[in-house]
Amino acid sequence: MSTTAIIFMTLAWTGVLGLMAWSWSRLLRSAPPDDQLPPPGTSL
Amino acid sequence: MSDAAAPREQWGSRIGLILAMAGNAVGLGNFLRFPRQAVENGGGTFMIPYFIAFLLVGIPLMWIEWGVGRHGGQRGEGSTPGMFETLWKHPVAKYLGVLGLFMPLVVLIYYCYIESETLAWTFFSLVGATQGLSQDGMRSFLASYQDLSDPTVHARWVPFAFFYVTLAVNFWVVSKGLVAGIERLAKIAMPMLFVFAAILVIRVLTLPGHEVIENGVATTYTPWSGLNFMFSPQWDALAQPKVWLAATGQIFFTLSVGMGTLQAYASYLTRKDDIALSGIATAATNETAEVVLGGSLAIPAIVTFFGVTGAVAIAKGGSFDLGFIAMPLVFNQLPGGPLITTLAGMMWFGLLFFAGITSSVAMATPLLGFIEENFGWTRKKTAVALGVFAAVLGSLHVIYNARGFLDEWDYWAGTFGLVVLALVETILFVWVFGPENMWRELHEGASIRIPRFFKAVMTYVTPVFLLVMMVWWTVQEAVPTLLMEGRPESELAVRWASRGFMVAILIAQLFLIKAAWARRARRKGAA
Repeated sequence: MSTTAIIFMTLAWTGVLGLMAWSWSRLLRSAPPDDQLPPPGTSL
Repeated sequence: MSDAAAPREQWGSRIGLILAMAGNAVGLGNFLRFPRQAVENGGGTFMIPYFIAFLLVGIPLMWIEWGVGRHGGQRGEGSTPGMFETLWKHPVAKYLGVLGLFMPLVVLIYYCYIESETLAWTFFSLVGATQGLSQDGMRSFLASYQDLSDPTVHARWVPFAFFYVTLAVNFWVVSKGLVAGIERLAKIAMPMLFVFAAILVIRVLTLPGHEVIENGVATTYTPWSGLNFMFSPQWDALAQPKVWLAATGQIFFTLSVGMGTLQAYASYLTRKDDIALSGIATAATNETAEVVLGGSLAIPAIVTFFGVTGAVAIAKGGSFDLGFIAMPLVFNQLPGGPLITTLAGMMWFGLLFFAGITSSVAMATPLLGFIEENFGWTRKKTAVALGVFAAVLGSLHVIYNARGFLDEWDYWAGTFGLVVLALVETILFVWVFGPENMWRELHEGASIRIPRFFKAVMTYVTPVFLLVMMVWWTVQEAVPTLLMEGRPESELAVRWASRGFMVAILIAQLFLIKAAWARRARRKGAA
């Protein structure tokens, strides 16, 4: 692969993967209680 | 406000919501349309206008649609006629909202037909029907399915059978409701789609080099030659307006904005639910599926076995040539024999089917919600009625596909119409509802603060971008398409009939809106 192609591909992949990782990590950290597992021993 | 007796359903979980939203966005275009667009519009250079359009049009529209949907849903409105009226207290507003019923219904019908082909090819891969076929054999195999021309290849009932099965699965899912149907489907289909795509990408990128004869010269191609071909910049492409429009168009289609589906899904959110971060997560998930997975599958695989010249010729032939002719030919040549060919084919068409069905169930949602909420029908009854309607009209696509019936719907509803709805909703949400109200609405329950820069973008840049795009498309494409320039005489009658059906659907939906509001007025008078 040419250097410019590698640069373009790396930037594109980093951009979308980075945005996805950031948004999903924020999402999981701020997930409301119904998305989180109940404490151990909780009766369902 | 609608007069639905029962309280509106809500999403079961935030993860389920994002997966359903991302499922709506991730469609066949991520794996078939994107690589073609990139190759035809400057390779790596295409990524520059693509990401600029993502920032200035894609993400803003994503937020606008989530905002319009949740704002309407809080007032009992699950589709754009009612949503638009909550933004603009004017009798015309609800009729403008017809676009958000018309487009998803029309696209749903022909999209299910295309989706049914992915189901059919999953089955054909399983039984080995395409194994051993040459390029011409593969082409006739596809052609006889699409134009019903050769019953010795496919019996004439076969395309109908796959179409009706696809419709039945779609309407069975939506009849189950939001959580038990759509959300559950997304939680199963989306992870499977990503797993299938990831396995195929690994297989493609680890393929050995392959010798291809081009113009009498033997050249060894590898998957990396394909990535090089796809991402090598052609700087002169940046000066061409068509490249910028192609990139903006791709962002539009890939995020499923301008359709009425995101608004319908967002209408089931509560006021405390976040839309700012969820909108970005949805867009980012879709972009990963498109740029990383979609960009690393078809083109690298095809370049490896057909060379650059062959890949360009295939890409120019269209998405079907890419997905349904070239890819099965690639699978036939994979090391490992018939079992690997079968598995690769099933995973490729299976992932396309999952990408399709998670989008098509979203398209059924706006009209389903509209009828349920305004006419008091149960979800099951509405799903059956819409399913039968789609089966009858969709049969015309199966019969007349080769004569342009589907192309007309795809252009007017699935392409041009999207920009019109996006422009209308942007004007209503940002300008009529007001930039301050819009900004406040987007931050209700938000998990993040949207950078203030986007307020100016959404107020000025996004509408201007959309307006320019609409004017350009009208001049460059819509007028010649309307006049059927360059169309063979044999297709004209079918194409006009196809347009007639679309106009009839539009008029019928306008009457439905009128009847719904008359019903609301009667109920209000009686109360």
